[in-house]
Amino acid sequence: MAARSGNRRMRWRRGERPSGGVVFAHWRTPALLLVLLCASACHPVRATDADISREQLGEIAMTRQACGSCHRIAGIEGADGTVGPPLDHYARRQMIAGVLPNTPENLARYLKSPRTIVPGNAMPQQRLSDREIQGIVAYLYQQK
Amino acid sequence: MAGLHLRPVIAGWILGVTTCALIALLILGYVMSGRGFRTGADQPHSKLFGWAVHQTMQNSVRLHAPADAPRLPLDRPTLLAGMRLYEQRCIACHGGPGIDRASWASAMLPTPPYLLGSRARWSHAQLYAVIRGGVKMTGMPAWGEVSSDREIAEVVALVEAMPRMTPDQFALLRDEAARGSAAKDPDAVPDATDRIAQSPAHADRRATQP
Repeated sequence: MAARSGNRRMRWRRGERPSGGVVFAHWRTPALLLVLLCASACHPVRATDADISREQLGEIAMTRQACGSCHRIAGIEGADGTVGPPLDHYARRQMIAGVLPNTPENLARYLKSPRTIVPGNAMPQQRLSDREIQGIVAYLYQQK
Repeated sequence: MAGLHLRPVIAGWILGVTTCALIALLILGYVMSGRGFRTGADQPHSKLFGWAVHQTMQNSVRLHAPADAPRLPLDRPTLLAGMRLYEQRCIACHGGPGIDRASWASAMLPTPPYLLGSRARWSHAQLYAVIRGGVKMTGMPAWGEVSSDREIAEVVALVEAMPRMTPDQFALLRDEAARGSAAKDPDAVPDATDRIAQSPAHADRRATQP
């Protein structure tokens, strides 16, 4: 360490200065981190935004409806539940709740009223709007 | 000789620390002015921020969970007492097996979770700590401020018994607690809780650990 700093000192004395000065010589990494931090902290979409996609709406609906407390869902923060089945690769699943063939229409039906499709179901009957249901269906069918 | 070369080092240090402090102050000012952070709960957290606060909460709970959290047997009177409290204080935000939350719970940010999986997520002591101490900035009250340790333990018992019941058994227990006559009439609903108490699986694996 001492030898290295000594060398640097010698170079400094000889008039070899790092371009931009010592303090600003390595500014790119922290600056990049700062920009990344700001970008990731800024303004995620809202459900009321006019230009929101169906998938984004589904993502918000699944977060708001706390689906992740029982299901593992790819791409949703904290969705690591171990109560119901994991929902990854949903587009490739064959059956819904073991009783319905997996089609977008059937999934919408099931989400509308899980306890009618499977009586005694632990999955509650949530008051999902049709828009939310279409969003959730779009989000899940994105999971190939 | 050494002092001669130390001087630029100290000067650099002061310059560096001052610059960092200045930048930190600028960021703080930007956030506190309301430009850097929107508090409206209609806008979800960014993934990074949501992840960071969630991790902080989980680590804090793990760190501060008491070693001596009281544990009640999952028997009928305990579960009925726990259910009465759950009905009053918990079910609106957290729902139950097959039971929806209040319609406004999904409008909260962060939104309160369903609790069927919380026994797998948290240890007994951690559940006790969360219920007694609450969670800052989430809407979860510190129930220990307004309840006895026994009441907290009763709710913990109910939450831990939840994944051991069918949703129908949970509904029966709920009815029974609502009638409030369980203590006088133990045969009113014969098996909602008895089956749990008899099941060898109900013994918490963590209970055997020191």
